[in-house]
Amino acid sequence: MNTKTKRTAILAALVLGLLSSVAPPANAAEAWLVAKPVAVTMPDGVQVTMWGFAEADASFAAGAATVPGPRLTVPSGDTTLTINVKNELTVPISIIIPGQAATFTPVRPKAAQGDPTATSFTTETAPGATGIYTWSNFRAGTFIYESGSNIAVQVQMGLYGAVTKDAGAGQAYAASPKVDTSFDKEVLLLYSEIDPALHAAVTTGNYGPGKLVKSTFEYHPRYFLINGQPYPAAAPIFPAGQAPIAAGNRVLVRFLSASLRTHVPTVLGGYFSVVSEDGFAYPYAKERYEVLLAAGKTTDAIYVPSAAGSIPIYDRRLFLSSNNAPKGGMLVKLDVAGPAPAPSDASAKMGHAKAKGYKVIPKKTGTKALKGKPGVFDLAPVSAKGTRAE
Amino acid sequence: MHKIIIILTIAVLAAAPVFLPAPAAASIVGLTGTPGPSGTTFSFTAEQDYVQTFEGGVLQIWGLANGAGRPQYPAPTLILYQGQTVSITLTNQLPANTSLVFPGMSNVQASGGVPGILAQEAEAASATAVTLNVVTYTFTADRPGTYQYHSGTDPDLQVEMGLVGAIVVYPAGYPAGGMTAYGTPETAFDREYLFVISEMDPYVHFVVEFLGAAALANYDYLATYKPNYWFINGRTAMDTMAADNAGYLPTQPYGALALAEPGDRVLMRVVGGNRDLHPFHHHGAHSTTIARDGRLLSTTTGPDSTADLRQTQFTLQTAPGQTIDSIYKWTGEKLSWDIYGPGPHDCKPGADGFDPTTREYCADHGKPLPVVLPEQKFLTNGGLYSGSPFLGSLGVLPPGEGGLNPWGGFSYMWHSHTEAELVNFDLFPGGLMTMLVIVPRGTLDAPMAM
Repeated sequence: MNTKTKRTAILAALVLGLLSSVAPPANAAEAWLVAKPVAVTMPDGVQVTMWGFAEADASFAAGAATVPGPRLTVPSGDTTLTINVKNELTVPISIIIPGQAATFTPVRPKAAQGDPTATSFTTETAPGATGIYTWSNFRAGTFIYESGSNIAVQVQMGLYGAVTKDAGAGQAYAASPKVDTSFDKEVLLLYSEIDPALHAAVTTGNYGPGKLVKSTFEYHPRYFLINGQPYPAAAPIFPAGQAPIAAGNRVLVRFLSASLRTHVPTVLGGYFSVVSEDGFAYPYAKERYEVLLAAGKTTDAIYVPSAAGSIPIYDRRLFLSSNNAPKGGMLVKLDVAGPAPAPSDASAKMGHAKAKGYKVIPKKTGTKALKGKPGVFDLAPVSAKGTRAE
Repeated sequence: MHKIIIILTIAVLAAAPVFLPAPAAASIVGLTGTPGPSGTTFSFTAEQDYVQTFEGGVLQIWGLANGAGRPQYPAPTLILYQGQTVSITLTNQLPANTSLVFPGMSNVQASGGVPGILAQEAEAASATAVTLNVVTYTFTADRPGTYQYHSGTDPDLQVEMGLVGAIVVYPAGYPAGGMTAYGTPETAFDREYLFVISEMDPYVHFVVEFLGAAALANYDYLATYKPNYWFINGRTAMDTMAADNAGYLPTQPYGALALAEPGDRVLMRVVGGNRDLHPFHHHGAHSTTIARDGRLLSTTTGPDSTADLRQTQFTLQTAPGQTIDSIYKWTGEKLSWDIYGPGPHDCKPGADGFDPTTREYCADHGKPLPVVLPEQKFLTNGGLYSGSPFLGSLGVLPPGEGGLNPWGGFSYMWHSHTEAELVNFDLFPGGLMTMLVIVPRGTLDAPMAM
């Protein structure tokens, strides 16, 4: 959080927004989120209570929370991001974005007793209260926003989401002749896990010192998610209004991990050009069929599909089960439109067949600048098989 | 004395099977297939069988058998040449559907079988239509490099059960023009070894063997995966150092003992076979990693198209599914003692300071060993100790000692740096460990003139 007072932060955002009409673009993106519990249903019917963020308007009127939280898109010209959050949970929370510079005010509840232990990386928003978190020098890249309070518990409970900014239109990072980060289409894949036993303990008040579950030491995730659901319900997140991916497109694949485990997203049938890590472009691209995605990491890759079909991206750490049942977990397919592939290309044919079985996750759709604010608050629609909601 | 410490560590080897691979120019053991009118063909059957572990354990596997042979772990290594079109016919005798995927290969075609999630599948042997238990995959190995293939059906179970193997694609024309991994000068090598690295959770194998794979649904086996065996080329240490095709390991044909002479460029082809990460640490020298996932660490576009992106490393982080090619070279440079000892030999330095014949570092020629070796009565000897600290020399050992190092070589442990993986079901030593033995110049190739 910025060291400025909240009021100053708001004024700064407003002033920057006003200035933008007369000066070169230096807008401040602003988003409103409500943190609250949400019951998430896994494909096997098991319902897990999670903590999520819901998209809200400037008066914090919000629908249901989602996990991951709404994807935030900071326009290329904006240098400041402000996240307004209302906390409808029963514990204090905060918001951090690893990789983006901000001034932290850690919470040290026992400082007076000489114990410097921090329980939050930065200023907390109490239950029922609202808080403002600002990043005044927001750089381009792919990032995770997440709770900065008691993060061993709160992040795995679901308080995470993606926030991205492009260097320019169709350009993920500053143009460089050494590493090409230009793209025609993009897709976002956020990896995370659920240990339902841990969620139950937290939800029923059985988590914490002296209680049934004392810490996250005994973390045994049983659901392995991409964008909040395991296969076959896992679906890519596309920008609103994006046309279907076609053969020959340069597809920017954003990998983000809010997991506590390492995962290795692996593609069949071609290679990624891996171009960044932690929101920093590589000096040179790396040609790989897999991406080593450690906990908390983000990495961007360009994939150019050579033909129409359905491209599987599966976790080569083989977390491909859901609650120990096979044919689940971290597997997703990217549908590529265009001329039919060679008739005997089995994987392409099968992919189409399988895609029909995708569950459509009901979500809000649409891109809108809320209430005339300069920031774009972009909740991407979810597509089952390459069709995009408008 | 690093070397001596390692040798002492191996003292427990005394009861080990005899590891005496034939000294020969090492080439990777694998299958080259059967030439046919439309490409090279392989015929594999997926079946149940067993592997042994060094401490006496037995684990059921689901392996690939070549033709009428027995299944093996890892699956057969495919030895291919750039541009070759390959057809692999997979017949399924397992109790579950199975399939194969080939990461890094483009345009893999499949015929027969039934659709699956990642690939066309061969139906389980018990399925009604017998013909649906056969599927054929065809692809062209269009780029050189090190790759892997594995089951694409419930791979979280089937790779664990053994359905993973390596693919080596040599550059077109190999070995004309010299042995190289990728056809470029910086990928030239003198010897090569394959290391398929994997682990197994015995619990999973016990449930599959005694209760059947379907019973896994009643067990918490995937969420609480806990391996207790670690393998190189399908063997646990010390079996890793037994010869290729050792008769007592009928389903584990691939050894992992590396032999090299001073100055040799040793190409390590390392494959992450199962689901965990393993830091493969190689003693004796650094290595230069030239490629990952079958692609050179270089850039082919932009203003720096010749940029050298190779990395010098002493631990190769093998991520699941990844492949690494790294070139290792042991020279003995600046050891500050004469590796060939006080016996009569010359050292005539070439431009690089090494004798081109013996590959001795001439600046150290004639320098004495800087320590006084303990008397034999204070030592516990390992099977790989020759009785002498000097390359090519054999010393006097007590009766029954030594015997595994007839070349008078220097032994270096190559192993997982996650040292907890150096066990077989909790028994040390074992697991993800093998040796590189540096042998005197001339042992593996032409006799040395000394």
